[in-house]
Amino acid sequence: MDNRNTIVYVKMKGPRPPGFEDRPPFEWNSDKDAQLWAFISKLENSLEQINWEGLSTALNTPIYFLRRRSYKLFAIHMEFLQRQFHDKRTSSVTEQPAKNKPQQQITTHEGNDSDITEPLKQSHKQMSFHKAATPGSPFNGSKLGSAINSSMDLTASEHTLSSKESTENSTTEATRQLHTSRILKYRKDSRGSHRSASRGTPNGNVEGDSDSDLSSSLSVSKSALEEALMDRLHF
Amino acid sequence: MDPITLCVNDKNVCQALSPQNQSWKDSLSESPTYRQSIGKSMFPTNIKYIFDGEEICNKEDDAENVIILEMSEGGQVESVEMISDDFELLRFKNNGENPLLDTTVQGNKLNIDLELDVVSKFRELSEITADLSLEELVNVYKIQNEQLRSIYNSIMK
Repeated sequence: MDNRNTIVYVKMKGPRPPGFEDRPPFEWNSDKDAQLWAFISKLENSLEQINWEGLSTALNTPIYFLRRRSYKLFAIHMEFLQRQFHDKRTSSVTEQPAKNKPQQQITTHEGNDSDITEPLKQSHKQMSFHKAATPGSPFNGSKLGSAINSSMDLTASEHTLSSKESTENSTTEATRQLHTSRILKYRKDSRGSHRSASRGTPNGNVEGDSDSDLSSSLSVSKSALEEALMDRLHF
Repeated sequence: MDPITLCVNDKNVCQALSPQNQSWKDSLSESPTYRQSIGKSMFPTNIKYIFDGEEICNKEDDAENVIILEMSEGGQVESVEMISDDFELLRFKNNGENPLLDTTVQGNKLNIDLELDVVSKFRELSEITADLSLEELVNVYKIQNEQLRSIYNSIMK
């Protein structure tokens, strides 16, 4: 589509003004667009530097068109810059909760296999949404993106409410299971051994060995999880 | 009276997927807002003004595309019609209403910088989409779906 194979008719109201004539068509394409941008984007200070008449002659294009096109090109590139800033900001915000959330969920999951499975799944879905909102995703800085983000927020808030309700129920069940779990036994035993050792129990060395056995059988991550669980359950 | 300027953007995904348009292809994974700002831009500059009592006489028989702008008394664009076998009009926007632009062109009464989004004929995509990721394919589907919905809505009006 160009000035040769396309005609634009503009239907105006009222009579034709005296002396009004249609402007002659001219050629403008993406190459000239690139040339114009190459020129105006390198300007350091003000528009006064632009020799519109010289540009008009060089590109064989009327000045009014060059002015408007320059404005449009600057607007497009400004939007591009704004989008990049927005993406950077969004990524820094979304990465933070994405790093924190799995730890909370995993600690709960370790404590209660049956009841916490569902919130963990929800959290996984939530994490997937967060991942979709990272830079390069089509959902960033857009109407569609904001709609998805708002629905994401809604999901997150719903999840927060449901998790609050379920936390009370699950806490009781988690406590019951923890009492029977090896982790809690280890904690209780170690406390007991500490107490007995402070009392000067004769077989303190043996207890120390059993502690080390237990601790070697438990991974570092499990003990960290245990600490987090105890904090959560207010032990 | 300032002349009207017109920019026509072809939003066909084929433009994005062609090897010559790598930057546009990149835009497939970008936000829809950004996608709208880029595309294959065309600049029809053969503009004829038709005033009351005048007839449209198409002397140029080789014209493949005709765009008709209907103006209100206040100098606003009331409607845009595109007659073409190759393009369908999706939407139009008048950038000339921007006050910043008004000052740039010395605040003339009629200040129209019109941008038309059109879509050219849909083509077979299987060959050029072979190396696309699933995410990009989903976006291609979304774009085409949105375009079809827009065309359908304009037909049903």
